[in-house]
Amino acid sequence: MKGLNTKYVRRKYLYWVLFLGVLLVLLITAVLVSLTFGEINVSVFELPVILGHEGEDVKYAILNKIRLPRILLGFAVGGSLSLAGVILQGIYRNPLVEPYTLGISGGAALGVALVIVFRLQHAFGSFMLPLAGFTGSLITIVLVYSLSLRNGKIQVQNMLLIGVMISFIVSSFMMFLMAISSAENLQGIVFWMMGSLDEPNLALIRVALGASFTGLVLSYFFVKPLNALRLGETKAKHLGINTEITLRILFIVASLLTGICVAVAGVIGFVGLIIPHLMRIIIGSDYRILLISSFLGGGIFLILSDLLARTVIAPIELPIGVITGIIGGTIFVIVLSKKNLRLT
Amino acid sequence: MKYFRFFVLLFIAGFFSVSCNNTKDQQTESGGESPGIVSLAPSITKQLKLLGAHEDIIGHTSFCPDENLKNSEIVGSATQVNIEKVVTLEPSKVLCSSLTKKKTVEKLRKLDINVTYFPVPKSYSDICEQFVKIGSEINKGDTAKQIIQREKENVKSLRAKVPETKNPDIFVEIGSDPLYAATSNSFMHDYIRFAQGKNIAAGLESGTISRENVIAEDPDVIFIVTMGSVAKEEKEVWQDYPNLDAAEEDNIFIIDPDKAASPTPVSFTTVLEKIIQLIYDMEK
Repeated sequence: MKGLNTKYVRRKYLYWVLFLGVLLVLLITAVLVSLTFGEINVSVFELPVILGHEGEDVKYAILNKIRLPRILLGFAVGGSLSLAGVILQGIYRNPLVEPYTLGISGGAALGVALVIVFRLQHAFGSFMLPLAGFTGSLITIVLVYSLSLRNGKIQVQNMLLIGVMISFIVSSFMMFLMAISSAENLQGIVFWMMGSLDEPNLALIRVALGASFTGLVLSYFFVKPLNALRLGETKAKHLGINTEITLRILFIVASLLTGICVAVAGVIGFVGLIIPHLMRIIIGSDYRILLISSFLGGGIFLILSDLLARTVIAPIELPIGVITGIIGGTIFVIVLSKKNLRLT
Repeated sequence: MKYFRFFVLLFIAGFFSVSCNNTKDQQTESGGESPGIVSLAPSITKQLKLLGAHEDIIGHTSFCPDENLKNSEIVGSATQVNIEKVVTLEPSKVLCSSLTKKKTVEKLRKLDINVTYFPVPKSYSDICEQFVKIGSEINKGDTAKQIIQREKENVKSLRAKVPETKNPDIFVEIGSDPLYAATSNSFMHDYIRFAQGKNIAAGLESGTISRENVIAEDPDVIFIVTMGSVAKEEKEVWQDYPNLDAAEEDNIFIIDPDKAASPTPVSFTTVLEKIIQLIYDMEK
């Protein structure tokens, strides 16, 4: 019996390692395809030559200053949103929760809208927009968190409801601001909400990338509690898990990751919902593999979505949310209907 | 196994690009520095054409009027610019308006591309100033000044024809859902001002206005400056209010948004002439 068990565990680990290998190869492929395809197509073998020779060459400018930053930001944002999604679905044990459900994106959008309406970006520079987005999401996180406390303990279901309500309130404030805005400001708000990976500020891309890896590492400290929480909060407590601390830290990690993504790239929907579920269908619900798979899967998905967004009807470029919604949503529905699986 | 096949397909797609060095790429390499202009706004493209610089335009948006743009390629839509495409064209100048995202402008500037930004003109004098600035940008400053001088004369003679006895209340609708009016912050306000009219939405900070508000103000004339069938539907909506002076007197007019909302100094004069003519007929 013990031998059978060991054999099963070994096969499972082997399957995980193989799966991670496939994801890594897919990631490398996505990066290479994304680097080579576009307005100017280059060969894979040309890449080291072009990227190694800094100069005024058009190819160098396109690859190094346009495509590479987009790929890095796509990986960071896709990975972070997907990781945030898998964490939040884990702590709420609700398959419909995604990073934007709790009003974090709405909070960020409200922050940005306020800056645009009061023209603060003209006074303090365009850095104000991501800063306001992050501050807005941070305030929403604090609000949701503090309102969910009862006698110093987090009420998970209350937290979800409060998050959804705050999301509605924030959306209404957004609509109010948009209604009283001038046409020019309104345009600025809508542009920001469309989401884009075309971030000109390299420092912000570095912040997003650093935050995504930090979030991944931090979440791995809570793999056991996350697996235990699949049985429910009470049973997790019986297994000796400090659910209070787990919920608090994981909520903060997921929210901060989302806040940073929204602040840098705007609102890019569906990634945090689709990728974790697809990964669950493919590899199972064990968080030891699910966290890293979702992270890599989200990164690959957003890199490829961005590639499609800029090439599918080139030279016209589509907002990336159009691709994540249509392609991601369709693939997800097809896979789900074929597998006929439940997502809990 | 299915996933493995999927991966193999993607990998092949990656290496497929090895043989995909297209001709556009070679053109860029051999072409050297291009003296061309990329216009990222329909109004700018129109003004460049007016200045006789249409042959210098090497890139425009899918929203720009493309007649006579033989040397030009589409570089994106008015709001989503394909930065790679712009860089590939190696323009000497990119002219853009507030239709272009701030991030796109910043990115282009970081790529050492000369970008000149033109905000939405808020008055007729803004339109004229911007036209002269566009002229200066492309070394046609004198031509621009001559056109402006001529058009200012035309506007002056049009204004002289307007009777000063009556100041009709006018509502200019530029959006229908939600209802959106031309305020005093818009160059469209000058169409009304020059026609000796009174803009009922002049005092509004933002252009959002309720239908109730318009009915309460009871304008003598309504101009609808929205696209296609929406304009006709809107006209019918206003005509359904028989107590409204504009409806009663059949003074609800549809104005071509292409000319009225995206003006050049010349199209401004044309639209102003049309507006004055319509109001005059009403006065008669």
